[in-house]
Amino acid sequence: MDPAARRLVEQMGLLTEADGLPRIAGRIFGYLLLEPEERSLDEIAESLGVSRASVSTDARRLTQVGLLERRSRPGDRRDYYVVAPSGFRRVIEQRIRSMRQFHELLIAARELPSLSPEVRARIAVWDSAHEDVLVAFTTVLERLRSQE
Amino acid sequence: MTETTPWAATFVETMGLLWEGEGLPRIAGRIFGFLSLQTEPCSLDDLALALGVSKASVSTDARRLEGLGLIHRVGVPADRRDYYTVVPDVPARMLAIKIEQLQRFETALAPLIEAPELPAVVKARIMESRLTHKRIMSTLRELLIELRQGATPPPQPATTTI
Repeated sequence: MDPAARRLVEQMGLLTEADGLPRIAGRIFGYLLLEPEERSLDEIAESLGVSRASVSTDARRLTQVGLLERRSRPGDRRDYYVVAPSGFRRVIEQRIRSMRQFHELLIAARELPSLSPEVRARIAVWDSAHEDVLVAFTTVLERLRSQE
Repeated sequence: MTETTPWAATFVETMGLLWEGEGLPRIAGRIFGFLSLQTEPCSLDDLALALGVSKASVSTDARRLEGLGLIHRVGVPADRRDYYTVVPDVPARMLAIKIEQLQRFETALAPLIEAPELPAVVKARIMESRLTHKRIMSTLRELLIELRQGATPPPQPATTTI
């Protein structure tokens, strides 16, 4: 890996770490972002100097959030990973899904008779703001989809 | 501390799962969910007891939530322990966190555009993702301004009167 790529990989690792994800997740993403083609778990592990088991766990996690795509090759039992085309759109879709769940949770909370008025008011304010954010994300998503 | 009803327990657990889905520790989501339903500040001991986890674990994730600006520490006179409550402007803070995450990512990508040795396909990918991030950020920033302007002054937290 050249020095600029190395720097990006480490920076991505620090970013995901700051966001509460393992550093290795960011490093995997940074590495694959700069690779024109898919890479096997072994290749990723070797380039990053970490164990294959560790790469495997976090590559799966990144696939779940929509940033990576898992590929397989005929006659080859290994898993290959590549950054997902439209990965960021998928991340936003994922985010919208979890925001909807959050919204439903707040709605359910507001219906609760045993809630204190103070908490009820707090949740009402949150939910209304949350809805605005949800609308904004949905608008962005539609714009992204129309550009693809 | 408000008594934990079965419903409140479900709320707390669901919040934990939601956070986990976002890649954050489940316990952080549970702490946030629990504090969301409280009218009084809670100590780490209160949290550990209510959530059935160790004080050490609660302490780590309470600090993480404090770092994210979603809860804050309040002092209670004649009590040396740390007490926590949710911040008054949770929605704006949550949105600001998202914007900060996007901004950091976008900033990290910026130097690559100038890197001459990158394959064209990688360069195109990076340019596209920067553009996407910029669009998302500008929409969210407008909304953040609106949220902050529209925010009604929060009720005084009960802590200041204890």
